[in-house]
Amino acid sequence: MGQDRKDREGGGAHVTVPARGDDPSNPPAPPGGGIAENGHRPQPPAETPAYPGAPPSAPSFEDEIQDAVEYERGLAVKALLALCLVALVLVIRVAFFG
Amino acid sequence: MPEVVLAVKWLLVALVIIAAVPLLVADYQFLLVAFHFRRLHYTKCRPYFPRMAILIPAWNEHAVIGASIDRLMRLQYPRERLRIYVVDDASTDATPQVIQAKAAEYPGSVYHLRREKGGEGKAATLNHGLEIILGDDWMQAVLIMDADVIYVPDSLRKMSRHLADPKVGSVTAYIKEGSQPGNYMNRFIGYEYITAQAAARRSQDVLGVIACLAGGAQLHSRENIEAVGGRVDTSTLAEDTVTTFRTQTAGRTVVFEPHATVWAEEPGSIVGLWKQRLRWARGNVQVTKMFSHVWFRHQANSRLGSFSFGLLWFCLLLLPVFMLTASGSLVVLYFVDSSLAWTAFHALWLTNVITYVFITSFALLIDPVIGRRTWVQAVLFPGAINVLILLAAVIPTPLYWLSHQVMNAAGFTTTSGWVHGIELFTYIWLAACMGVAFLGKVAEPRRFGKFLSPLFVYIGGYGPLLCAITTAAYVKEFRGADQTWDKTEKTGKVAAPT
Repeated sequence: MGQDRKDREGGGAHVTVPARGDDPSNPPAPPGGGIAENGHRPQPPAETPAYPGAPPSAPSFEDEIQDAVEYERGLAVKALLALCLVALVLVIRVAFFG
Repeated sequence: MPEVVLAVKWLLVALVIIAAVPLLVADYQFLLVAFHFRRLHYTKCRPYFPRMAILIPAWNEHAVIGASIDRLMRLQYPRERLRIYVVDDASTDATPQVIQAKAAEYPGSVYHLRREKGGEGKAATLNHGLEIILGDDWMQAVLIMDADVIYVPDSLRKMSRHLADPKVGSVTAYIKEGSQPGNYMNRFIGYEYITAQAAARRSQDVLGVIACLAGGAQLHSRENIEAVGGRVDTSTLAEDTVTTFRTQTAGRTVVFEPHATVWAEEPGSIVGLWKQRLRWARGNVQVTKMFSHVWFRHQANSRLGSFSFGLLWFCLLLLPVFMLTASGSLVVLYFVDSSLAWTAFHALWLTNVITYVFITSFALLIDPVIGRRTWVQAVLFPGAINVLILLAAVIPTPLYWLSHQVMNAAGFTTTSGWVHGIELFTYIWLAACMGVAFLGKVAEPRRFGKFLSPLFVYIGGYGPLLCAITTAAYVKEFRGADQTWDKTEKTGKVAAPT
């Protein structure tokens, strides 16, 4: 059961997904972000090291995912820029050369 | 009789216009990239480090294998959960000694698997290793890679985090061309990989179906590799594509992780490229036949049969056919009705302009680091003459004026004969550019080849060169030519930028 109260579905990087082959050295992501049953305020999500032995200065797993998502969002903007260039070329073609 | 002529005319026009379909499909593919952020798999990821067997097929790789093993041992991955199995395919150089030295340096982490009888190709070599790895239950995931590729320290863990989702069977990474210093061919390939890997695989991710795991970066869960039979296909030249298809037809997901970077050394010559791509193109023809029951048919477990994916696959596979048909149709139409030929050509080339501007600018933005190194090759990807024709389609008047001036300066008078000649030339060039690019291969091993072969590729185009290779693959496959595994020569000149 994951932090989103669903088994292996939805929810973001903190969803607890059971490790394949019930491997003890692949612990689930640390808890955080879900609403506790005793009504306590949810704790802010704990940062998960991206890999065992990562130096404290290294980006956390959540930071890496966030960076990747932002990069992918940026591609939509870049696609728009490229489309604007196409539009400019077409405008030049139509406006100046009939 | 006039009705027949009219019908023929419109048939020819249709054949020209149909050649715009692959261009529009390429635009569609790149547009899908913009929506990749909506289909990311990260919500189902977490730090996940299964016991990983890294399988490296090696034949005479002494120049690169030692450094590769050293780099793998520095991956950001728990050392005790990593084993490297090098399958030495009866190497005749110092490869066995290098591997054995590394096995002694990293006891329990590096294993030397020797095949005494080699030469059966990469797939047979991989199967030898897979049989041994699957023989015990230590391995939970297997990474199949090439001997020379460089995994950036965080790449493997960025791939393995997707396997935390049990629905995922395989993960692939973004392969980049990393030859240092690299020549014009390496830069063409560098740009091509932005379009063929960074862009194409993102768009396939959006469609929920991946065409091919990169041969040098295939991560499989144990369940998946067992589900596809515990071995890779040996009947075709595209064992990686067959594995990718089988993974998906079995109902497992294949994920592209664009932020896991793997640097590879790609051919630095036309002859080397020709050997490599002929193998790939023949493999694709074979896969097309092998999975003939899949195309454009609903599949219960996968989206391999989706219309969009079929369109992407066949437009790429049949691109040379489209080019040859359009060129031939335009030439015939020119003699039947030259003004209609001009109109059809103009429509096709305006579509071409849109595609060229969109794809080139977007691709350079997708990976600006590679883009800065390869922008000249990006601009000249279709070939210098095709770029001139594209320019003429956008700004005709200044170019006509310029050509008049050049002709006059050279002592020629521009007559209608010249104009018609140039018109006919542009129609023929649509197909002839493939032949000119092919001349680069012919010239390369000859005298002045070092100077002439890049010239032919820049004039004819790298894209048309790939089309020429695909055409050669059709011919080889149609003739049932022998399947030989022409290994791409590696020299160890690849390096990850610092």
